[in-house]
Formats: sequence, C-alpha cells, structure tokens
Amino acid sequence: MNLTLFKADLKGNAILWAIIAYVMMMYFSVMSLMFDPTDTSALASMLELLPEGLMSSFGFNSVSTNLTSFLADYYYGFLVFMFPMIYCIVAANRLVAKLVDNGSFAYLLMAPVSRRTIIVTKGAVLLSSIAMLFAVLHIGGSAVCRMFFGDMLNRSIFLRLNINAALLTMLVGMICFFYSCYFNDSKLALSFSAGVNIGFLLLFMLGGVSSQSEWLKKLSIFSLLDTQRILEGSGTAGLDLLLAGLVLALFGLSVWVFDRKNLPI
Amino acid sequence: MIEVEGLTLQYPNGKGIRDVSFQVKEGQVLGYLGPNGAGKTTTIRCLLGYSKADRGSCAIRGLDCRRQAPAIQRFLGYLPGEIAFLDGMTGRQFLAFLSRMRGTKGHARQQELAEMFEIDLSGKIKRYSKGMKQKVGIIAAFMHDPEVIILDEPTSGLDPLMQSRFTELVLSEKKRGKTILMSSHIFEEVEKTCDQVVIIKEGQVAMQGDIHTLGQTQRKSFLIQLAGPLDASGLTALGAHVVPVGSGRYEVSVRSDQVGALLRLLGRLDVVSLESKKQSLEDIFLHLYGKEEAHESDAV
Repeated sequence: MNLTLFKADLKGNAILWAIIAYVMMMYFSVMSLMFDPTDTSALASMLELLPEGLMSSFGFNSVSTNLTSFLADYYYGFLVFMFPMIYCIVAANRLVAKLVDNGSFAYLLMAPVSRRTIIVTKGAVLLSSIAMLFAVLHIGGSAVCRMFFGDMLNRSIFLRLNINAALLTMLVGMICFFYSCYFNDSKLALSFSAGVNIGFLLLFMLGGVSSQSEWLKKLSIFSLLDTQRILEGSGTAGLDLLLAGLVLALFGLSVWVFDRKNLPI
Repeated sequence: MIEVEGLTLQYPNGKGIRDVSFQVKEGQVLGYLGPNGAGKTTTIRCLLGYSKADRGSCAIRGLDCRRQAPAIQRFLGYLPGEIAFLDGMTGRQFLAFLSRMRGTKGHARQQELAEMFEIDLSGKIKRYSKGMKQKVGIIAAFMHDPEVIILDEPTSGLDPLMQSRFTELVLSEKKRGKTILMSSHIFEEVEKTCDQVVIIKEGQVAMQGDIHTLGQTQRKSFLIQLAGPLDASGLTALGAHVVPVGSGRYEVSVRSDQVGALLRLLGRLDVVSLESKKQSLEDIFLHLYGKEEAHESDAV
C-alpha cells in the first residue's frame, strides 16, 4: 500500500463515485417512497398492467406488506447491482488499464515502489470506494426510512442485505479489475469487464422470467445475493465468506498477472 | 554504470531487439540512435524493468533492472517517449504528487527548471501543448537530482530555442558527473552532448563508438540552388557527390574536412540559396557503407 497514491486515486475517482452514490440514493428513496404500509393494492394493480415475465425478470414478483422485504424485493432484486456495476467497470479501467494504455503508468513506477505495491494500492482503492458506496447507502437508506416510516425498517436485516450486496459488488469490481490488469489495451479491458458482468446480469434476469428458466439464475454471480435467506433470518455467513474468498482470490490473481507482464509503456 | 549484455526481446510480430550489448560508464553521456521502430524504446523498457527480456541481462549500478527496479528508481530519472500524464492535475500538482511518491523534496530544483524552460505550471496538464507536456516530463526526470538519467527522445515537441536549453541542461548535468542515456533518431541532436553513440537498426546494434570518430567519417550534405549552369569539374576534384534534384538545385555532399574548400568553390558560382541538410541515420549508413546498405548490419 502506498498512501500518497491511495489518496490521489480516491480523489481522482471522487466525481464518478459521488454521481453513482447520488443515483443509488435517489433510486433508493424513490423506491422506498413507493411503499405504502396501509395500501399495497395501488402498486399491485400497476404491476398487473405490465407483462408478468418482464416484471419478474426484474425481480418484481409480489407486493410485500413489510417495508424491509419490500425493499429487499424491489431495490435489492436488481437496481442494487446496476449502478455500482457501472462504477466498477469505469473505475477499474481508469485505475489501471487506461494508464497503461496511454503510458502514464510510467510515472507511478518512477517512485522507489514496487509494481506489486502500486497494483495492490489500486485494488484497495476500488474495494474501499465500493465499501463506501454501500456505507452511504446503509446510513442514508436508514435515515430515509426513519424519516418516512419511523421504525418499520428491520435494521439488522437491512445491514445484512447491504453487506451481502457490497461483497457481491466487490466481486463485480474485482472481475473488472482483473481485466484491467490483464489487458494493456484499455478498450479490450472495458469490453471484457462490461461484457462478462452484463452477461451475468442478463442470465440473472432471464432466470427470473419463468420457473423453467430459473436454472439460468444459478449460473449468474448475482444469485449470490440471497435476499430470501436474509429475510428468513437464516445465516448467510457462509455466502459472505464465499464472496470474500472469491474477491480475495481474484485480487491476488490480478496482482500476480500484473506483476509478471511486460508493460508497453 | 549501465550495462546491457546480450539483451534479446522478440515481440510476436517479429519486432524487438536481438543480442544488444553496450555500456555507459559513470559520467558519460550515451546517444542511443536508431530510426523509428528500431528497438530503442524496447531497450529502454528493459532498463526500466517494464519488460522482461527473453535472454540477456541489463543492470544499472550492478542492480538487476527487472528484479531491483524499485531500488534503481532511488537514483534514476526517466523521461518516457510517450507523453501522457495523470488526468485532472495541474503541472505543479503533478510534480508535487511525483515528489511525494518518490519521497523527495525537489521544490527548488523544480522551480529552477521551470524557469529555465519558461513554463507556467499552474494550468491543467490536459490543456498543455505537446511542447509544454514535454517540458513537464523533462522537469520530472531531472528535479530530484538523479545520478543516472534515461531520456527517450527528449527533444521531441520542443522548439529550437528550448532544444538548445535542453542541450545546456544535459551538458551542465554531465559536468556534475551524471550518467545519461538518451535515445534519438537524429544524429545532430546527440552530437553536441554525447561522448559515445550506439546505433541500432532493426533490433540489432549496427555500430557503436566514440562520437568524434563517427563525426569525422561522416559526410556533410548541402542543398544548393544556382542561377547559372553548374560546372561540376571543380566539385568532383573535391571528391564531392553531386546529385541534381531539378530546377537548378543540387544536393552536394563532401567529407567534413572539405567543407571549407566547398564553400570557397561555391563563392565563385552564382549561388541563389544554400542550406545544410540534416543527416538522417539512413544517410550515415549510406555514407559509411556505400550503397551496400542491406549488408551493413552484417558488416559490424
């Protein structure tokens, strides 16, 4: 870890990060305001107007009468993946591949710091900024729910949802980071990280369309956010550990690949 | 100080370098010459530890360039051939960032260099012209007062005045005992500053040696335009090559010790214009090896 670089990269990504955090919070607020504890029929009748398959592919299946499960279904079914994914794709590319592609990575290596230290710092920037996105979502989301619905939000379930979602996003981020470290061409890195993650998202959505296609969901990393288990109150420590393990493994692989390759700078 | 021994690195497209060996002794300035695509930057990438050679080795002050790159960076200054900087910073912020990364305090020297190259560092680098970016790169390479300096095409983008400032800078650093390797594709660019030259062509060292010996064997070319007809007999007596290039213009080349005689001879002719021609490396090869350019790499 190199603190100077860490701070500079956090600062360099700040605007993108703020935009994504803002959009995540805005959608969260809009979603939670759609919840009406006394009458869910309005939303249910609105959903009936739309094709069933389309709605269920987004994870909108039933209208819940409980704020926490309402949010779990609507926000944590799909939206929670989308915006952080955009952040991961853009930020991971900016942190490594773009600098290698245009040659400015040379300036980072002008310090008496090993290549490995630099790339570990870059990965740490990505992971900690993802953690901060979800910290904002957790704190801001709790505040929004308290403001409009008092104590209706189950805070421990909400926390577990956010931890699970944050770890999943870190996995998405590390997939992007790996391609960013692997390719010298920024466009290739972008295409692969966007392609693979959007592919996973499509599988997840197709898997939601009907019960016959449900197996597709299992192929997608996005099924690793298990809102059902969290809502039931069953343990998800194993799932979180699996995600953390995958994140670390990909991080290690990215560092290994980058440390070894020839840099065209 | 810098030792390159049998360095070989082939790219999948067949380009690269083969069996490159040379040395730069402490306090020397070496010109690393070659046409575009000859393998200059590839060699430099190995010296900086960015690329791993297939065979051979390179070391700076006895440290392996690949495995001990961070240790080498403590006393190395480097100017990359490609000018790209980190986004969103001003020139001053960028140089301050680099100093913090290096853990050095080069502020006084930085200011001195900025004044020498007449650059205002307060604007965003993104908006700088090519020449200004090059100046920022030069300041970055020199500001921490490194012992060994590697420069990849250092004068590209600089105007003639700044090119001569740069020459002054290299000469003053040389006086202070610095070891410098600079690549270029123009002979004249390194002529004023370098002691030794290594010329690389198609990935192999075509020749190396003392710059003055090379300079003496070199021929000087002039482009002259005459109002009247040319009497070639006097010129041939000087051993000059004369090639008519149309509309009263001739390209005349002589050995460098015959330049004075050539000028005296031209004084008697009706010369409209006279310009000296910059020698490309191809010209040097041609003059040194005659027309058998294709065999020149075998000849060494």
